[in-house]
Amino acid sequence: MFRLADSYHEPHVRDMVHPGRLTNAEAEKLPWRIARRRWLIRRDKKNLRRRQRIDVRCAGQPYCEKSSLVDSHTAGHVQITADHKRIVVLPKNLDFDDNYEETASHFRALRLAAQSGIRLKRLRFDKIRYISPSAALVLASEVDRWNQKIGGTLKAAVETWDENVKCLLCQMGYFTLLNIPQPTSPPARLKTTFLPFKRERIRAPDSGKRAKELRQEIERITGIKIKRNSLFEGLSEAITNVGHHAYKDATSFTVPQWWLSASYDASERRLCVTFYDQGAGIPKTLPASHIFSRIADYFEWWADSRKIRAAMEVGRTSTELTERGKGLGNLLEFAKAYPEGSLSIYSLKGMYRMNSSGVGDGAVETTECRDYQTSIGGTLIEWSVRL
Amino acid sequence: MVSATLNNLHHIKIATEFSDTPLGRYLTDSNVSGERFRDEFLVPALRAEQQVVVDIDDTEGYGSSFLDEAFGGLVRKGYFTAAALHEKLTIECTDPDFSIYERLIWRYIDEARRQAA
Repeated sequence: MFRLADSYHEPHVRDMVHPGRLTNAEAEKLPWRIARRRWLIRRDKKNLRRRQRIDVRCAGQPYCEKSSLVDSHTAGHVQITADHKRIVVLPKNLDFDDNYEETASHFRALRLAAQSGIRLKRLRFDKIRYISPSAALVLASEVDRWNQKIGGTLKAAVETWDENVKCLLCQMGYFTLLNIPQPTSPPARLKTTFLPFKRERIRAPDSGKRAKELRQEIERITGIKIKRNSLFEGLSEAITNVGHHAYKDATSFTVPQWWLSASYDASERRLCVTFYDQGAGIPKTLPASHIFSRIADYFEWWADSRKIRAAMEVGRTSTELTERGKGLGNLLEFAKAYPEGSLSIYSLKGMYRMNSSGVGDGAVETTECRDYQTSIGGTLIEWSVRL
Repeated sequence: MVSATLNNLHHIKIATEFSDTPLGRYLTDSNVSGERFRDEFLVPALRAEQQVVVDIDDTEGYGSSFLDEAFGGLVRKGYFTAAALHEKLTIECTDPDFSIYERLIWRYIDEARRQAA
């Protein structure tokens, strides 16, 4: 805890150095030692006020020297223990659809820690009561990157977790990520099943095989043969795009990978497939394409959601046939292959969603866009269909 | 590469002779990219034989990047003209879900323009 200089409290010194009691002319006549002392006291008071402001943002904990974890998005998400260790407390509802800002800002805290080289002691999962498949995948990727960049594994006190959440995260592969022994108790009977996430380096030789494995696992848990070619089209395009665009400006912090998972809600017969990369994002990489390079100057001012929409529209209209698009337009095919389906793309601070009902000529498509304060840290693609 | 050749008819089944998970456009994307299929399978077969049949059934599916580079690239890279391909190349599929890919292949071929030298 900071203290003012001891000599300040001596009456005769305080009279001489107190800024309010001397005029400028008088101050200029002071011996240099006294003048320097005055300057040091003013500087220390200023620093003390600044640190008090940071203390408030650190939830009243002692001043954290590495305050790079704290900004307007992550304030309050990082707790400092009595022994000055940092822990991230995940919130009750991790869902990009219903609780985007809180979800994304907690993940941002983890991302900043990995970027800054700050060792976190623990991730607290005990407050989580719901985690969506997409949020679970993005969190897994952040933990995965933290493990790869910082080294070691984040700790988690699994005995305090909600049972349903424990079962879901175990299914997805978190216990391996967190280096926690698999639970021995029987798994909770849940209406939703998470498939283990897959990850692969960009441009890996066998990327297509990961997509095939996922399809086979989906068919195993659902008992239903899905439209494999539509799913493969979307995943193939997502994987190819990541290799071409997402990590062009990779830094030492970047892990050029993609992550893939799926979940199935048996009660609603709803299949959700999610794909995530931690790359530059569609809004940043789009201007490099030959179409948008011509309007790059105007493009810069567009919101992220509008840029994502533009990328999707170009992919759909770049050819004359409306039945099929190229590039990002291919992502829509799996959502359109079923009577009720949707495609959501979150990239940086924007979101684009296409909802499709009906198939063939009778299909009705609606789109929506949203923009947020906090970046998702890459691009998340989510297909949701009712089988 | 083992492909059936019968009476100057060259038959290529992508799923068994190349990959059942073809993915990517360029050689750097994967080892089963459209560029590799074009350069190692299609071009030699089209140059050597009078007729080439490509069976597209039984794969996981095709991304537009793969098809465009594999087939559209035949014209863009100057190997063949679109008219020549219409005479020499046949796309074969029996799966109704894959019929869209046959249409896409011909569209990519017809839309492709030879790149400037």
